[in-house]
Amino acid sequence: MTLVARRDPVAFEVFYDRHGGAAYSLAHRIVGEVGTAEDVSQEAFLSIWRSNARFDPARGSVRSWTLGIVRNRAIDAVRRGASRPPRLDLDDEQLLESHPSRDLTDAEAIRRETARELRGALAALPPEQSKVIELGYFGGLSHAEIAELLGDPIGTVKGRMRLGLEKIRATLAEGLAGDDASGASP
Amino acid sequence: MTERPGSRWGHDEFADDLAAYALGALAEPDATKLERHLQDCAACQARLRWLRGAVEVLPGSGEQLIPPPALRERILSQVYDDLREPVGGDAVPERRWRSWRGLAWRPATALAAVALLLAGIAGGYFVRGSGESRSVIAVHPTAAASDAAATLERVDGSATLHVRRMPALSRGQVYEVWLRRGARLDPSSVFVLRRDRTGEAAVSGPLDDADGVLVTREPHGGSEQPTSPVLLRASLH
Repeated sequence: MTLVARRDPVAFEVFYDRHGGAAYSLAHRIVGEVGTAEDVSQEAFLSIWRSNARFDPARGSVRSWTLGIVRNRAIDAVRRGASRPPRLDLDDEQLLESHPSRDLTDAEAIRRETARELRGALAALPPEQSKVIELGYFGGLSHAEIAELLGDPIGTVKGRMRLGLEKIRATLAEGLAGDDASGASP
Repeated sequence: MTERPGSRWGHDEFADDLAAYALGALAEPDATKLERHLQDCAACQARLRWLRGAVEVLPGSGEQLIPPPALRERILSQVYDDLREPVGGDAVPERRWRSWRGLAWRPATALAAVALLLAGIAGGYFVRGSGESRSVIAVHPTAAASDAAATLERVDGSATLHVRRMPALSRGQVYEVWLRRGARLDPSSVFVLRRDRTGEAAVSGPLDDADGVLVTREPHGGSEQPTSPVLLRASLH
C-alpha cells in the first residue's frame, strides 16, 4: 500500500488484481446489478488512487479497508436510486452459468468455495440474527432504521447483531476461513 | 447458550453498541458516544477488532463474481491518464511511456493529440497547464468540531475538502463550504457525510482571490450567509 500511496501504477495494478474481484462481488451484492456494480467499483478504486490511499493498518487489513470503501459507495448508489435492490438468492452455480466462457483459476475456485462455506455459516444463524446483519451490512441501514423496519426494540436489534457476530467468530475459530481467525473473545 | 462476552472484558454497557458499530450500522448519537469511549479504552478497542474479524468475512459470503476485463482496463486507463498530469518532479512510470508509444501506433489519436497541442499553444493553455501546482493545506477544527480532522487538496484554481469525524448534523441539515474574501463570505458548496463520518466536497468558485475556506452547518440546500458557528477553518495564504 505504500507504493500505491506513492502513486506507483504498477503497484496499483497488483492492488486491483488482488482485491478487484472481492470488491466487484461486494458491490454487486449490495446494488444488485452489473452496471452499477461496475460504476461503484470504478469509483472506489479511483478514489483510493486519487486520495493517495490513506490506509491505516491499525484499523484492519487492506482488504477490509478497501471493501469498506466499496460498501460505502455501493450504499450511496442504492440511496441515490442508481440501482435496484440486491438479489440475495443467486448461487455460485447460476453465476458460473452467467460466465460460461471463463475458466476458473485456482484462486477463484478457492474464493468461491470459501464463500460457499461462509454462506453456510451465515445460514446457520437464527434468522433474526442473520436478518439484522444483512440489513446492517449489505443494506446500509442503521440499527434504528432496522428496528423501525422490523418493528423490534432498538436494544433487541443491537443484541441480535452482537450474537450473530459472536457466532460467526466462533465459526471462524473452528477453522472455517481466514488467517486472523482467533476465536477468543477479548 | 451463548456467554455474554461483555462480562469478560468488563464493559457490558458497550457490548451491543460495539457490534452495531463494527457492522457500520450504529446511528448517531450512539456512534459518537462510543467513539469517545473507544479513544481511552484499550479493552473495547480490542473487542472491536475481534468483532471486525467477523464483519470482514461478510463480503466473502456473497456470490464471488469475476469482474469484467473491461472494468480493469477502464480503471487503469484513468490511473495512467492521471499520471500524464505530472505532479512536481516525479519520475515518469514505465507504463506511461508505453501509453505514449501506443499513440504513435494509432495515427488518428496521434493526429488529434497534435491538433490539441497546437490549439493549446495558440490559446496559451499549456503555459498554465505545465505549471500546475498541487498542495495539501491544513484545515483547523474549531471548538465546535474538536474531534474533526480535515485537509484541503488544492490543484491550481480548484480544491477538494476531505473531512473525517465531523460533528453530527440534525435532521434537514447539511455542511456548507464558504470562501472568505476579505470581510465577505461567499457560499461554495454543500455536502453530507458517509456513514463512516468521512466526506469530500468540491470547493467551487475561483480561489485566486479567496483568503480562506470555512465550513458550517446549514439548513438543507445551504444558506446565503452562515447561520451557525464555524466548524472548520483553512487559510489559503
